[in-house]
Amino acid sequence: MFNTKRYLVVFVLAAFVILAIVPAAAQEEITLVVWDTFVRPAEVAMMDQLSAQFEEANPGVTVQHEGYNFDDLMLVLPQSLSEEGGPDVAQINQGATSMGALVQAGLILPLDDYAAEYGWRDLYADSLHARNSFSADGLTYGEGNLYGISNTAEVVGVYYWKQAFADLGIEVPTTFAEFEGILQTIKDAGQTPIVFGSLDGWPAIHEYSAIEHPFSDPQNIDDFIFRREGATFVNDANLQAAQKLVEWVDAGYFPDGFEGMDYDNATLAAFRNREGVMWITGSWIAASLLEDANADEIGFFVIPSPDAETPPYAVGGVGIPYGISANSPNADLAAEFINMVSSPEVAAQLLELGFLPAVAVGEDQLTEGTLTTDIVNAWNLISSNNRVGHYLDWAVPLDDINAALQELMAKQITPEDFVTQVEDAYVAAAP
Amino acid sequence: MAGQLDERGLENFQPSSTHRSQSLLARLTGETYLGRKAHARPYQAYLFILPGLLLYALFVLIPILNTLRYSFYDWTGFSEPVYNGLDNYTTLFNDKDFWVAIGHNFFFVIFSTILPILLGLFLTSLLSRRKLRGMVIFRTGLFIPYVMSPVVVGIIWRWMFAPAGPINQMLTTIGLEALARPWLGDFTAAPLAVGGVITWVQYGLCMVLFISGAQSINEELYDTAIVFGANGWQQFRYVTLPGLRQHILVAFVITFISAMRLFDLIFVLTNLGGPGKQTLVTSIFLYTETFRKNNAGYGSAIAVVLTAIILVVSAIVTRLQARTEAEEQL
Amino acid sequence: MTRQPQTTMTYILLVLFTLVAVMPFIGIFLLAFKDSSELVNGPFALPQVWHVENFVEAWEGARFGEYFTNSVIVVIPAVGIAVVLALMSGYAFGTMRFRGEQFLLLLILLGLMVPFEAVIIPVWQLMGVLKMRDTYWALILPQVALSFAFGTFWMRAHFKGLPEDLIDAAVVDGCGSWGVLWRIMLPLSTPALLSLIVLLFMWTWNEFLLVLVLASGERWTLPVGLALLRGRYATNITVMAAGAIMMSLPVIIIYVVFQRHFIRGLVSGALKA
Repeated sequence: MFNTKRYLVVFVLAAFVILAIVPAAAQEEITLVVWDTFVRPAEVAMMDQLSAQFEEANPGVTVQHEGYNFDDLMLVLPQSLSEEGGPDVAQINQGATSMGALVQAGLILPLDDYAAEYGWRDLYADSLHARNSFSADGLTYGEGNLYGISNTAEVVGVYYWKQAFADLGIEVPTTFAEFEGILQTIKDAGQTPIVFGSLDGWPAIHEYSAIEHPFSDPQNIDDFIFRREGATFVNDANLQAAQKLVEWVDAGYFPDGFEGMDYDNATLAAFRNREGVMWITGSWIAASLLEDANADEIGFFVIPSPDAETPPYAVGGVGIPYGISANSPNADLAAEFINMVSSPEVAAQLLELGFLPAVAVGEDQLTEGTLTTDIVNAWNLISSNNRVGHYLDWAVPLDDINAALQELMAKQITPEDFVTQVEDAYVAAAP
Repeated sequence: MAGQLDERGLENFQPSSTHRSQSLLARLTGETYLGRKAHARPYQAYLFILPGLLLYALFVLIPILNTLRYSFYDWTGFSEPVYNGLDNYTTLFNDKDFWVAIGHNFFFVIFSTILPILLGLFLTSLLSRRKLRGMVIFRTGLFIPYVMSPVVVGIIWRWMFAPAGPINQMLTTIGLEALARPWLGDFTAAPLAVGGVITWVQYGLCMVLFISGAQSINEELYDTAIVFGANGWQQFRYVTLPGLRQHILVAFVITFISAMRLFDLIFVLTNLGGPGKQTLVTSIFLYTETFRKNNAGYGSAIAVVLTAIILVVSAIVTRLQARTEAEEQL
Repeated sequence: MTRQPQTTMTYILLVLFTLVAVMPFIGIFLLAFKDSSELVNGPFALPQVWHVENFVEAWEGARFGEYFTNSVIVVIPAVGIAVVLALMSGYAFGTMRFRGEQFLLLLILLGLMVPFEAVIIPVWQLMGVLKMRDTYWALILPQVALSFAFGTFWMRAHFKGLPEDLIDAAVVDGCGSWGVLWRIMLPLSTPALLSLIVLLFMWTWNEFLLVLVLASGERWTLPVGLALLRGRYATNITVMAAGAIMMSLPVIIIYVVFQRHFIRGLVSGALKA
C-alpha cells in the first residue's frame, strides 16, 4: 500500500516534468545559419542589426551569421553546402566558377517558386536577375533558373575629396578626355591623382575596367561574361585599355610603391589620410569611408564616356546574392530571411548605413550633396540606361586575372601579351 | 619458475605453466621471445601493427591510390567525374603555370637547402672542437624559426616586409633608403624576400645538425691529420666534411622536401603566389586549381607529379646515404 | 695555433646567427602589446603601455579562444593515439621478425615521403562519404594516420638501437610481448618517446592545409584562424600579433622545456631513419 502511493507520487511528478518539457520542445529553437562576406566593421554592424530584426519578427529563431573573407567563402562553400551544420543561406559569387559550379553539383536551390511567391522579380530589372541565373545543368549563364537574390547593388566609380577638387579648380568631368585631363592637373599640382594598391590583385580589375568599359561595346562585354557564341577578350578596346593603364603607371598617376599596398589596410588608409585625391573603386567601401569622414566631404561619379552624349558605361551590378542551400532543412525560413533583407524597408535602412541597395531608392530618401546620394545617382544613371558593366573575374578565374594585371602594371608583360594571357585563361576556364 | 633459457639463447624457450600475467592479451600474444634472431609467432607482430596500419591504410594508402585514379578524370570535386585518360597530364605538361611553379620550387631549394647547408658548414668549420659553453642557449635559439608554424612565420615577415615595416624602417635609419621598397609586391624583390625567409627558417636546423655531428667525429682522425701537417681548412675538408656526410644528406632531404612542399608560408606571405605568379609554387598551384577553379582531377594529376618528384629525389639521396653508411662501416 | 681568436669569432657568429633567428619573434611579441600608433617607433621599441587588451580582443573578437580550444581538442587525441599506435608498431618492426616485414615497412615509408597534398582530395571526399565532414574526428584521424608513419619509423629506429641482450633478457617471467612492451620497454624508451611526442605535437599544432580543407569556421584550429584573419582584422596588426603569439606560445614552451629531447631526437633519429 505504501508502495503504491509512492509510485503514484512518482508518476504524477514525472507527468508534470514531461508536460513541462513538451511545450518547451514544441517551441522549437531553430538556428538559421547565414554565411556572408561582411567582414568590415560597418558591414558586420549592419548584419547584426538585420539579424536582430529577423529574430524579433520570428520568435524561436536565432540567426547565426558569419562573415568570411570573400575568397575564403567561395572556397569553403562547395564543401559546407553539402554538410550538416553548413549554412542555410549563403552569399554566392555570380559566375561560372562559383554559382555555376554549385548549380552543377546540385548544391543550391532554384528560387523561382519563392520568387513568384514573394514577388522578387519586381525588385529590379530582369537583365540584373539574369546575372543570378543559370540553366538547370549549371552550364549556361544568364538564363534559366534564378539562384540568387541580391539586396545590394554595386557601382564602380571615382571617389574624390571635394575640398581637393575645389582647391585645384576641378569640376566633375563629363568626358573621358576631361577625366584624363584632371589626372594630369592633379599630378602637376604635386599630388597623387589616384590612390591604388595592387597587392591583393583584384583591385586592379576595377582600375582596368574603368578604362576598358567607356570604350567598349556593352554587347561585347555581355557576350564575354555570359560566354556566348564568338565571345572573346581579344579586341581593340581591351588592348587600348591595357596600354592606357600602363601609360597611367608611367605617368605616375598611382602612388609610389602601389605594388605593396593592400586594399583594406594601406589603400583605405591612404585615401582616408588624403594622400591621394581620387580612388577608383566600388560603392561597397562607402560605409567604411563614412566612418570618419563627413557625408559631404567626399563625392562620387562614374567615369564618363569618350563623348558627352553617351551615358557612361561602368562596372557594376547587383551585389553578391543570397542563395539557399539545397541541403537546408529550413528552406522556407531561409526564403523568408532573403525576403526580409531584400525588402524595400531594409533597403532604406541599408541606405542610411551607407550601403547601396539594389531596390531603387526614391528621391525623397536622398539628401542632396551627400556621398550616398552621389552613389545612388550614379547607380540610377547606369541602370536606367541599361549600361551596367561586368566584373572581369566572372568569366576569367580570379587568380589568373589578378596575376595578369599585376604583371601588366609592373610591366613584366606587354599589353598585347596581357590580352593573350587573359584570353587563354578565359578559354581554359570554359565549363 | 618461468621457462629456462638454454645456452643458445632463445631457440628453445618453453613456456612455463605457471604464468603470473593471465590477461587476455597476454594469452593472445602468448609466450614468445623477442630479438632479431628469433622468430616470433607472426601474428603477434601483426596484431601490434594492425590498428595503426588500418587507420593508415584508410587515410593515407587508399587516398594515394585514389589521387592517382582521380588524375585520370575530369572532375570538379563535387559532381560526377568523367574519364579523360591522360588529358590532365598532357595539359599539365603544356601548362606554363605548372613549369613556372616547379621552377620556383627548385629556385627556393637554393634558399631552403643550399644556403642553409652552406651556412651550417661555414659555422661548423670555424668551431673549435671543444665543447662550447652556452651551446644549449644557442641551440634553443637557432631552432626557434623551425619550430614555429609557417603561418606565424608568414605573419611575422609580412609585417617585417610591409612598406612601412621594420625592414624598410631599418634601411632608412642606416641611410640605405634607396633600397627600401614594397618587398612583397615588387616583382624582382618578392622571390628574394620569400627566399630569405625560407633560409631564415632552415639555417638553424642545419647548424645544429652539423655542429652536433662534428662533435661526434672521432678526435683521433683530427690528430692524425695534424700529424700529417694539415692546416685548419684541410682538417675541415678531409676530416670534418666526410664525417658529416650523413648529416649533410639528411639535411638535404629534409630541406629539399620542405622546399617542394612549400604551402603555408607562401599562402600567408604572398597571397597565393603573388605578385603575378612570381612566388607560385606547386602546392599552391594544386590548391588553386582544385579548390578555386574546381579542377579536382587536374589537381590530382599535379599531386601525382609532385609526389613523383619528391619520391625520386628522396630515393636517390637515400641510395647515396646507404652507400655512405656502407662505406663508413668498412 | 690560433685557437683563441677562432673561438671568439665563432662565438660572435653564433650570437649573430642566433639573434637573427630570434629577433623577428621578439619584434612580433612586442608588437602584440602595442597600440597601432606606435608602429612608427620601430620594431624593437618597447610598448609605451602594455596593451593586454589586444589579447582579449584576439581571444574574443577574433575568436581565437574558440580556435585555441579547437586546437587543443584536435592535438591531444591526435598525438596521444598516434604515439600509442606508433609505439606498438615500432616495437613490432624493431624487435620482431615476420613475413611481409619489408613490404609493410615500404608501405609505411611511402607515407613519409608523400606530401599531404597527394591525399587531400580523396580524404576530403572520404570524409563526405563517411558523413564525418566538419567534425573533430575528421581533423584528428588523418593526422593520426600520417603521424603513424613517422612514429613507426622513429620507434623502430629506437628499438633497433637497443642492445639485443637487453631485449632477450627482457623476456622473463612469462610476460607476453604485450607485457614486455608496456612494462619494460616503455620506461626504457622515455627519451625517444618524449622526442616523438614533442615532434608530433609541433606538427599537429601547426597543421594548416589539412584543417583549411577539412574544417569550416567553427572547427578551425589556430593556424587557419590566424591565416584567414586578414579580412576582419586586416587593419589591426596588433591584434594579429597577439593571435600569433597565442598560437606560438604552447609550441615554444614545450620546445624549450623539452628541447634537449627534441633536438637530440631530431638529430639522431633523422640519421637513423
